[in-house]
Amino acid sequence: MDLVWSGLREAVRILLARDPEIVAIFGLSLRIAVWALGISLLIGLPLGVLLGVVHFRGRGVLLSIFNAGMGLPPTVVGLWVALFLWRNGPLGDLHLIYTPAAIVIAEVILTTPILVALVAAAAAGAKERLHEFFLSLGTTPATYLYLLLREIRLPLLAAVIAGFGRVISEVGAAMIVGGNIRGETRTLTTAIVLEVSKGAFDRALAISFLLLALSFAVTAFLTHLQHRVRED
Amino acid sequence: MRGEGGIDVGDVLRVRGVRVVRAGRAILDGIDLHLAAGERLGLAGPNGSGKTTLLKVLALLLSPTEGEREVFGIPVGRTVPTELRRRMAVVFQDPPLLTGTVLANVYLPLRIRGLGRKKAREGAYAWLERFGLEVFAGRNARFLSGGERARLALARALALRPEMLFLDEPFAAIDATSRAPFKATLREILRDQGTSLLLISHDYRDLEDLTERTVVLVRGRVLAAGPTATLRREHPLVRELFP
Repeated sequence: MDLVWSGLREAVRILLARDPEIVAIFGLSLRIAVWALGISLLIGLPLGVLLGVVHFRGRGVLLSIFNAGMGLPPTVVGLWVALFLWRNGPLGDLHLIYTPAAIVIAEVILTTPILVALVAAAAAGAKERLHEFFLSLGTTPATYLYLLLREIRLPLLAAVIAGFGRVISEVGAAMIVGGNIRGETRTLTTAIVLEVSKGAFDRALAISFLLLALSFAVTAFLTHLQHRVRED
Repeated sequence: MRGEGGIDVGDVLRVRGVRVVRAGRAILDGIDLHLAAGERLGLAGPNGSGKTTLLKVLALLLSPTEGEREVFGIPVGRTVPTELRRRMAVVFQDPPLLTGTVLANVYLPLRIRGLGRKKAREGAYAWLERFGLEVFAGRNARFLSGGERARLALARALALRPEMLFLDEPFAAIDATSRAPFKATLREILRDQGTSLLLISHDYRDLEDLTERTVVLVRGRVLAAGPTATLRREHPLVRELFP
């Protein structure tokens, strides 16, 4: 218990002292999460709606791939992204290995399947329930899409919460493609791994409390939004 | 009144030789039917006779496997012009409601049909009021009872001021005592707006109260057709179905 208390005290001290290194790590983690989630949404939302609503050859195979992709092991994704971004790799000329962008790429690969699968399931359900009603209203493709997105806004928020959980907690891929470089690619999760490996449990705990606070704050905000939407 | 090609120019709906086949089974088989402007037509028959399928074909929600359709005098193939659907409204059996408030369920369809925010809001409130639902306007629609949902679905359809209204068992969830005033309100609105009606009901009294003519389907074919008031009396098989 002493360790937990000392971790808590250290966390409070860091917060009050605004330890520049930790503040920078916190900011970078948040930026990476926002970018990764934003890009995943840009890809996952239209793809999920398409797979949920439009029937075409190979749709079932694609859905199975994305469903399986929800359980992609981060270290495997990290390894493959690293192979591609490595100096001699196919995308080596982009010089992205060991940069925050590399971490974003890995996290987009890990998060997009979650968003696609959840959005596709929600869109398919809404279509099954409301397709004929929407047609009977004389919807155009644009108004049909608007009504459909409106109907799936709750599961969509749930998908965003799940996606955020994935990006903010990810460590394996971030370690491999980011390299955990101080001041450059060190995130809250990789910093915790480092502190634990050094035996600095109080500092690791302090960072973990910050990570928990960030995760809790964003999830609580999204959940609040979800409740408001449900009550509308 | 007959126009070019023998089409009755007063018809809002006309189908010839409509056949719908699903999984090798004919759900509708050679249906000929027409509906004049302002006419109220009943569609009756036992379960599985193809009533709802025929309604969907007529409401341009389902393309027939074979046969011709003319809606508002316009031949309709597999591609359905949105403008035609916008002249109709459908109340489905077990009507699906949009998530959100009761008001949103009337407001949004009006917006989809092109009304401005203010007019759509005013129109939605007016129709909720007409069906005694104004007190629920701000409430979430998922908390409505079965009867209230049925009233909301009808208010939503009528708010669109359709020229052609399709109702599939709209009174099934409404208790016997509430049915009479509900039907009276509906009859009054249809008369005032000159709306044509196609009503599916298992209860012949509903058909007698609201329609002038009835078509009885059995196993996807027309068994009998005629004035609703006399059809049951004059046709022994119809009397058997609706004792």
